[in-house]
Amino acid sequence: MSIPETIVIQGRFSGWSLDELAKFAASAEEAGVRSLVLPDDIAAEDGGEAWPDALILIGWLAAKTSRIRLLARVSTLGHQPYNLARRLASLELISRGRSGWVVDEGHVGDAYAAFSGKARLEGADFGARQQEFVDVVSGLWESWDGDALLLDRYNARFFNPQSMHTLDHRGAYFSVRGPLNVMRSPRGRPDLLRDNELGDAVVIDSARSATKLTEGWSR
Amino acid sequence: MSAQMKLGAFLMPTGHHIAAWRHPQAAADAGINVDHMIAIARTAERGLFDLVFFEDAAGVREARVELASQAARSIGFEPISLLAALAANTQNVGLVATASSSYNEPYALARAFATLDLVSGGRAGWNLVTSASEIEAANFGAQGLRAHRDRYAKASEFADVVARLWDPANRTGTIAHEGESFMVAQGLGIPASPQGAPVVVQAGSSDVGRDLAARTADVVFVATQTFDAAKAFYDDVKARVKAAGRNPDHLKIMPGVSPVVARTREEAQAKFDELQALIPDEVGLALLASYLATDALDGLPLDGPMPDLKASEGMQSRQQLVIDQSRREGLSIRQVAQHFAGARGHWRLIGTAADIADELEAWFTGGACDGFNVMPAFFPGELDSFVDLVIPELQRRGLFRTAYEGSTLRANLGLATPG
Repeated sequence: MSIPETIVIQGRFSGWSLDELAKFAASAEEAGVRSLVLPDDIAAEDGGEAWPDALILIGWLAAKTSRIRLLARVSTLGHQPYNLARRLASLELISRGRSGWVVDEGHVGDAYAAFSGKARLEGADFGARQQEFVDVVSGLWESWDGDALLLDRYNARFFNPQSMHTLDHRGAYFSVRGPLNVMRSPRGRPDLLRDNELGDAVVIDSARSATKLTEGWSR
Repeated sequence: MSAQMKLGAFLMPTGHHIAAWRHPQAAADAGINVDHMIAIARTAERGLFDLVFFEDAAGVREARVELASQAARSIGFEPISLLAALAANTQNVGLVATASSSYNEPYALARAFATLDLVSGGRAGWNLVTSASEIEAANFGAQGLRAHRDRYAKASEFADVVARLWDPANRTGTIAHEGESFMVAQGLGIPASPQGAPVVVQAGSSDVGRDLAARTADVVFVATQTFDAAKAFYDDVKARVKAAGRNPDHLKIMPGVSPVVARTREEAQAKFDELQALIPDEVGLALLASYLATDALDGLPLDGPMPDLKASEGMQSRQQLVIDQSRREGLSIRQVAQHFAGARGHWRLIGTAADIADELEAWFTGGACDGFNVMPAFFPGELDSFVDLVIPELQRRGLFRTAYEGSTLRANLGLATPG
């Protein structure tokens, strides 16, 4: 059976244990799957089940894997671009260049209820806000040139001042000076994808369907 | 007071000494080297520390790039992301990260730490800071700092919302919070960890900060440099905990201590002098000025005395500490800068394992603290020294554990499990 390039996890978190999730990531890596996409669905406005924070799960899975790319499908709502840029840039270093962000365009109503939407997002154009958010994150990822770190102990020069760049962004929704306080990774920056760029991904919705899938590979 | 002291390992990429990264036994590339961070967390676990702790700022530490480029503080890992990786590489040690109540939504923050708590099997903790720097404010579209009291009002509401979201009883329900600064309808919808809820740490020691801690914190970190000041702080906060209707044993007070330890006193002093000599003048001065949130040092002679400083919107209590010490010891601006660049306002001890254990024992048995937050001068070398020399000495004296009591942070700290 052919091995999918990308696997997208959906469904409920109660369909998994953390152990099963880690084992599945390891099996997928072993089989040669290139990317695993984790959901970051928050609870519905009226309560109920949700997924844990996908960016934390990626940091944890990154320490248990070595080749598979780990993507989190995260909404811009409820985050500040500086914080999200930092977390993703850190995951990029932790995973040694295997991290990425799929911009989640859904869950607007639930995010509005969880993240003080009435106070923060009243009258916001979600599409425009999201585009500006993505632009700021991308800009912050260019805060440091690839050769910025000098580590020159003798001359007390930790980094090259010419290789650090502020962003000085002033837009309709965000005002961010920068620079990011996380260093650029050896490969440059985390991957940034939209939902429609996931290609022919295989979707699984529980540990059970994950097991079925991996059993198919070993046959 | 606890029967044995609690110990935190305050980790930073290169070390607490501002010139740490220049030391030949420090990992200069620590801020991009996850293997190094995993190794020092494992060393802390080998030393049976209750927890590892990371501070945080959502911005570079120094806006003047020429100055910033001479120190290692401008870059590092975002701590909660790093702790997720450390969770997979440790079994018992607590994992505590700092995050600001000023630049996060409580729901997002509560969810991130609750997830860390899950993947670590109940070892997560959150250090609430209200964020005091203009550099950070500029990354969040904020114009100027909010007044100190206003920041704490927001922080207080923030802490309450987070506590309600972490309450195991609210996990899949709703909380319908509508307050002055935040509105949150739903619960987190994810299961609680074996410790029920992450541990809450605070470090603000102003009057409103103490009240907030007495009401909501499990652990308090504090910068005190004399036994009397530590004892006064301890008695005051424990009285406030009691007044808030809580068991005083359920809040652990852990002053910062910055040790330099070696097999002989001469060796320890030589190690410290070597570090001090690596501090560039302008870096030491800038660190002091930023620590005091003042520009009143600009242009003053480095060999002259400290000027009088007006209370700022920054860190009020630490500022007083610095001024008091410079007066007490008749120090010049350069001396104060060097002195504080080394320990960053915390208590500094230089000596043998027995010297350091003597001091820690005196504070602990004298009722001035429940333990310490240990701030090694550079990594990995000085954490290794503490674990190999001081920990066995504390164990010999019956002051520190010889095995972890449990697998959760609450179990090791001796805190109640909520829910």
